Amino acid sequence: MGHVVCLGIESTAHTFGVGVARSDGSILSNAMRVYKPEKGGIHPREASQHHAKHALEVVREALEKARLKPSDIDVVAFSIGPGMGPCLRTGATVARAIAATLGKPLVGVNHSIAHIEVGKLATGCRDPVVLYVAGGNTLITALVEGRYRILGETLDIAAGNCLDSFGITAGIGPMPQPEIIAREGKKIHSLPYKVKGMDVSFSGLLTAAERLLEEGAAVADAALSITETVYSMLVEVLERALAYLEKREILLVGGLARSRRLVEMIRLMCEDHQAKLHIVPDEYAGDNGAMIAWTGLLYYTAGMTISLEESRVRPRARIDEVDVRWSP
Amino acid sequence: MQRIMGVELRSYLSSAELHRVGDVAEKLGRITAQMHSDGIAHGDLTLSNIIIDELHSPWIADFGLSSFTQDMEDYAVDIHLLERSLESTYPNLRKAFMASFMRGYSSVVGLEYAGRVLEKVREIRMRGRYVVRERA
Repeated sequence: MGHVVCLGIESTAHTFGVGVARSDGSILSNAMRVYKPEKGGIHPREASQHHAKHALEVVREALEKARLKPSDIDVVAFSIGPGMGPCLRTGATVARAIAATLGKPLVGVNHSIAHIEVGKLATGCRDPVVLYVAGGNTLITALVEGRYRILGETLDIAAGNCLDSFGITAGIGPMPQPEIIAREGKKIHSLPYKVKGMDVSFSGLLTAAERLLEEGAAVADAALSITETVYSMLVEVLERALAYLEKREILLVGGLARSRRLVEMIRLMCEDHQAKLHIVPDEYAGDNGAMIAWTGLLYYTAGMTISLEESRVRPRARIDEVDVRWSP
Repeated sequence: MQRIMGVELRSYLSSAELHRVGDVAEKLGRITAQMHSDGIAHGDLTLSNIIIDELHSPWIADFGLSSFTQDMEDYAVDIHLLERSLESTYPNLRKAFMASFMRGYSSVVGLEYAGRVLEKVREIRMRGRYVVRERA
């Protein structure tokens, strides 16, 4: 053997996930339960209660799928932030309990970095410009001098949040529904397009798209308008970051990496720049425990463990505050 | 149109001597302030859109995204973007460079106005996700 095994717990928002990863780069399991609100968006307290209710069975399932006993675990990792406080605390509590019971080291992983590292692991890309787009986050980043530096980010809501909210208001449900319905759209209405340097802003766009619905526009047309506008903005800032950093690879991670239309638009842009596009596989695109387990191993091998006292969750953690000591 | 013999600030900074960097930053601050005073926001003020000529003087190039504007927010976006682009390529130079830049900037528009623009830059920065503390 000689390999280190890490159990990772993800609970930043609607997903409670537990994954197991091994230091040779294999993912042994990736179990999860996803909280689905009856109506509207995620209610943090309800989500955290959902997580607490299912925690034990998901941990069990992850170990069974990995064919491991609890004592085979060498390291326990959890998402320390960014995310919703109540949800984070549930995951952290489970992680602390397991680590303390087994007497194993604890690692608090930055959730955004985990999305990127599992993308690197799964695609084999080396030095990419990263677009991380999801329900709660939208940013463009690259590893420069030991940290993931933010080149651009959203100045208000996340791209995924914008499309989810639109879908819920329109009565079709969150992503991927808006994108599916958009395929029947015929007309693109003009919507506010807010790009500031490499930063983007989506809240005005969301309001305008909802107003289109109120004014009686066809839902499919409104869905087409909002998805095309959001994706165009993302591709524009990504293109600028790529040209600026003079890199040859793009890595797309986060839940919106599952969007076929977004991928298609980025692919066209990459062809223009002779850049190679890497997309995180669907199973690791949304929030999941495997990415925390894998990144937990990276932290662990770099000596970045924490004590119980230091394991307080950080709902507003930023990606550029972590020293990425495991990367050359 | 004018042909400028020089290199992008981005590559210039990789080999420039330190005292030159401060000097270039201050001059850049001055011409940026001049541009803003003339009611122009650049819209894409990154290190690769600034050229340093053989006499170590900066030139602002590529006005493809520029606009005539009186909105201070647009000027602040220029400075924010410059700072971002420094941070993502030469994180260690950012502080000193921006200090010299603002010295040059204030020397043209005055301390009071420069202070208001800086306040706006800070505001834009704070709009980013999870920015809790002042990082400037």
